[in-house]
Amino acid sequence: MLTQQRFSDYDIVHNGGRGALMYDFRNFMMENIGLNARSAGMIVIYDLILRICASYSSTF
Amino acid sequence: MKITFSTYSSQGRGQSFQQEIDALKSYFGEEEIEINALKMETLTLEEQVKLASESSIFVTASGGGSVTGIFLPPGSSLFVYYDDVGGLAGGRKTGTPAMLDFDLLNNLSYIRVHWLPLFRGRSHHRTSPNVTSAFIHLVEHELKLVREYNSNNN
Repeated sequence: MLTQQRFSDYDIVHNGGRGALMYDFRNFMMENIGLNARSAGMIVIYDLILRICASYSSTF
Repeated sequence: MKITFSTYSSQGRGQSFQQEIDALKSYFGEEEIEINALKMETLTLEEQVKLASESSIFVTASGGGSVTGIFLPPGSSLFVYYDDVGGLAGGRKTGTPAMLDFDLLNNLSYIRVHWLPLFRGRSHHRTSPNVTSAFIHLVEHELKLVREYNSNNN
């Protein structure tokens, strides 16, 4: 009975794969109250993505 | 590196975390870590969010107070202490783990989440030497990962 309960509690995963969505939510909430949401590390990553996109689009 | 303890985050599940704080203070040097132990309800919303966003490790009891952990910076760690026998079904105690907000916190892919039992249903205690030693080594390991993450991304 207890074992059944233990497993059934975790049968359904509600937020799987929503990490990026929740990170965006975090950043929106922080910026909304005037705090800097993105660390330097993340700015580098976003900058890299933008550079790749710009480079890709400029080849056409 | 900042370690934040959210103390007494709820009436039933809240903890002082005094044993863990004392253990960390005696193991790490003051120049190595900065420990903040605060009752979050005494801070403003902005202060709570800012504090979490500057922490390398955020320690809290499971429940509503642990949701402040979503404001941790990428690459940091959230330690959630849960009642290992506090589960309820239909308002009745089941003796199962009460890992509240498990689905939310475990899917915050930008941080690492560790679930630590309060050992309420066991013969040994959370503050026994072995458990305290495991906690210190977990903190040490997480600080190493945070340091590596920061050096790779800054």
